[in-house]
Amino acid sequence: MRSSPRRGDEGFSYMETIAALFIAAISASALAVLVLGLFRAPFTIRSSGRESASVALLDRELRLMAARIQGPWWTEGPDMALFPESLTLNWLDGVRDHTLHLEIGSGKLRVNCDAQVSRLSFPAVWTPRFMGAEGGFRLLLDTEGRLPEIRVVFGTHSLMEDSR
Amino acid sequence: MKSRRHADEGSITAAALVLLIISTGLTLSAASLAWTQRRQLASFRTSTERAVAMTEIADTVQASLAKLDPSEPDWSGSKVFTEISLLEREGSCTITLEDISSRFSINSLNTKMISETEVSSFLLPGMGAGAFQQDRENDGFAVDILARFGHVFREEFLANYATSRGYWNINTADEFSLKKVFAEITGNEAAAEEFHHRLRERCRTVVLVRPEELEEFIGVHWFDRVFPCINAFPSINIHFTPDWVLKQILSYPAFRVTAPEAVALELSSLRNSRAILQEELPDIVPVQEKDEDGNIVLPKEQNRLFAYMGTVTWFWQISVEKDKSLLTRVVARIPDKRGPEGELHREYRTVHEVLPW
Repeated sequence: MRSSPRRGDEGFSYMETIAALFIAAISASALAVLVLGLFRAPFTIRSSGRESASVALLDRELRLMAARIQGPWWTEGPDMALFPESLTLNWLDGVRDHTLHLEIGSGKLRVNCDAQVSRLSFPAVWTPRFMGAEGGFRLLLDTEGRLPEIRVVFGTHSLMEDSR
Repeated sequence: MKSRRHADEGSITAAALVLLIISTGLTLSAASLAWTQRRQLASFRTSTERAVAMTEIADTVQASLAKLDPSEPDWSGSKVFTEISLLEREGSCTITLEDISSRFSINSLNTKMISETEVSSFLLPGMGAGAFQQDRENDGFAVDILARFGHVFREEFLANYATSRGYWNINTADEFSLKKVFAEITGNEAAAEEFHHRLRERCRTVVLVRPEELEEFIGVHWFDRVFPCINAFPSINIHFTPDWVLKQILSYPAFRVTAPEAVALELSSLRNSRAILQEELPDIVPVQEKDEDGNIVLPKEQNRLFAYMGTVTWFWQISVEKDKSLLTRVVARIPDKRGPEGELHREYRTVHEVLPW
């Protein structure tokens, strides 16, 4: 005579097991997303912080450099050799032959300020390019989809440019 | 069975504790980074707001200058200085408005003005007026005069009595500097040569080029290009010229001023008490028109002194200082233009600005 299973030892039906596994999978996924998010949060913040800091540093550096370009106010301003990845200007610190040369690419801005060289880093995945602007220049930064733009003006503005 | 359940409960609590510690650490580090970033952004915002406020103050000063009556001389009692005092109180800042053009314009200074006045005493050993002129011809004009002409003049002269902010006055500027600036602006050497030739012809006649005949003298085509850099308006404002510069100008033999030192003292005293009008200058400054035999050699109306000294400031420097930050702006006055109904307007344009980043 087979004894009948005791109350509570019957086990689960197939459907119950499937439902339980389904709920467990969803809970585990949600928990995994939560834990992963928690782990990733500092890195995400650091990354966006780095991006903001890089843009702010580039902005500050370029503004300071542009302010040092003090060309003649009586003509059309400094001579500018402009390419997407480099920029050369004369009249650095108010002296015609002193030049500022900027080169940008591969996560680095190389600054040559009348033979004094310095560098500034930014995320290597960015694709920056120089462009012209009235009385100065622009740096377009493709920061993985976002397109911040830094626009700077020279220290001296041409009187003759405005009068035409 | 009971004890095992207890052991299970303990292991679950320990795992939760570890998870809790890790998540707390991560949350704290994230919060710390966010806080640092927030502080940086707040600091950036503060400095940007301060820069904007200082720029607005400089704009207000520039607008106050433009609102002045075009015919009013620029002098220390001008309404703009009262408005600056009010702005200083409202904006808790220090504002300075300085005439930076009423000095010897290094880019147009003629050689005789150097060699026949005490300006020559500021030349460095081995340097002469001719060498200076040649240097300017070869290497060009100055923007930063200390950097450009520091090897020609002593620093004291360049810092206190000279300027690179000054227009080229067709009647008083060095002829070669006029030719050079004409060539630089137009980019046409042949036209500059022709202009120089006409200038020399005119110099022989001793007759001044009046502001109203400048367009015809230069030629309509070129006038639009070179004006106002080349003009016929007096370049020095007698109200703000340093005493030493005033004395040197009056002592320049070609201007034939009688008792220049006494006149310089009289003008220094007079300008502190009231505004001097351009029309008054020929009466205030006595000049010799005749030679020893009584022949008129230089009529008063053709004396280049009155084409050199005037009552207009062409370049102002506006400085705004707030919370240890400094904004510097140089504005140039464009010779007055008539509006549609014939009214005159003052106009100032920014030629140099350093923002407090």
